[in-house]
Amino acid sequence: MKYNFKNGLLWLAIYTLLALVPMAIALAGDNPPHRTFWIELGVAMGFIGLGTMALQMIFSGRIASVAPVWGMDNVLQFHREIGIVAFLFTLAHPVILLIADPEFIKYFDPTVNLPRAAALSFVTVAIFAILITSLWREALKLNYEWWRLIHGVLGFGIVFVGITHSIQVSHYLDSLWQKIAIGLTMGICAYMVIHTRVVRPWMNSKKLYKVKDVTLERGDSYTMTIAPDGFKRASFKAGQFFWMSVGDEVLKMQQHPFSVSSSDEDPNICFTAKVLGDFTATWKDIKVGTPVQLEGPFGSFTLKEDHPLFMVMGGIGVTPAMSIIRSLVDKKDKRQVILVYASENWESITYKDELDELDKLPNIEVIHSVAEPPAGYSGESGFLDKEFFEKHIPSNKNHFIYYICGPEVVMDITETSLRELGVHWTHIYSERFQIV
Amino acid sequence: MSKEKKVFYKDLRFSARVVGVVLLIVAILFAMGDMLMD
Repeated sequence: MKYNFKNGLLWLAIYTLLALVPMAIALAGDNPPHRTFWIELGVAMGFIGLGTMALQMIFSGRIASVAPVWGMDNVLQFHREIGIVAFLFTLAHPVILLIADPEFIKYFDPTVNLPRAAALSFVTVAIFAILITSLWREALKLNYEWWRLIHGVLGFGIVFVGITHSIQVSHYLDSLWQKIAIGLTMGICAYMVIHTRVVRPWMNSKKLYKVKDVTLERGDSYTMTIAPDGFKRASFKAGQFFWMSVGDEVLKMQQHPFSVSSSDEDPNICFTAKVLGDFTATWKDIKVGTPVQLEGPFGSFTLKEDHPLFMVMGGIGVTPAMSIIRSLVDKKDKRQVILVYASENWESITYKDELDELDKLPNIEVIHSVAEPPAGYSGESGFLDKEFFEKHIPSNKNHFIYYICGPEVVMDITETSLRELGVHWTHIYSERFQIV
Repeated sequence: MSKEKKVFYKDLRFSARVVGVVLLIVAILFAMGDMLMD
């Protein structure tokens, strides 16, 4: 599916309507007498805060039917941005009510109702904690696995208390059917956290892949080949990625996203990773036969119709491009492919030998750009910039589809340069993994 | 987030803010309640 404004507006409209479900349930019953404007505004903030917080569970739920439309990275980026909106509405609820009528402080008074005071105090602290740990995770030196666990527990807690609080207050949700409706609709959202983090991993642990091979590649990278152990390999499209964990333990905290590097026609699945962190550093020691769990596939970084391709890949970000090109070759698809591969130096070019062979095919052109070129090198060098793209993008630029994957700086420069050179935004696809 | 990305089309911050403003307008309408009917 291609990006366009119509689909974007449709999804935003659907989102807005879903966020208003708690308020709609409240208004559908017998409305109580109207209080002051500010009290009712505070109440409205609470209903919208609950609706937006509950919807956050759907976004983080890695729903395969939503993610491919916009790309998992864009879905998560929206989750992050709308999370700030959800925080503001949720915080505005007690703040406006307390300013409108200080009597509402009794909701936080443990001598009046201890469980209620504890639950509401928890939510007040939790919304700050979830925001701060998400926006400044790296500055706080919080590792991804612990952050994800904390994020899920706090998110679930906030929505659970929100549901209980709205039912307990009962001002607008007096009828039994309203209590059931709010409990069910918001409860389904909250369940997504449990489904994503407990039920689905448990189901994935029943379908274990086995490592067939781990090979060293150029550029301090390793390719891991895995095969399904007694079941049909997960179907994926070239360019997509899986969340992967090594080992057969259920509920393993360490799970990482990796783009497939093999063809979608290949009965096995290959992942190639550069040794960058603790997890990838262990790849060289992984033994043949080691169990691997996969979740996915995800991502919209896939072939669109039959347009020719202009791919800009930086470093190990080349893996989805390799999957796409290998698949095209396997399918004998002769569409034009231009691959720009930005590398730090000549030695770090992963798949160089295979790319040299692919470059000999009449429909495939590989353009290397090396930041630190070796002596005597005559190809493109230095960092990618607008002049580079001016030189290399084809004259029929909007007939091509552009794919960008790599370090943030490469993606930023490429996206901006292509736009400035007149490439229409609906023709550009990029995949960013650095969300938190 | 880089300056370039901030101005780029796929920056979803703008969309989230638009949704936030729409929701705020709905909240104000909810709070006006009877005043709207009069």
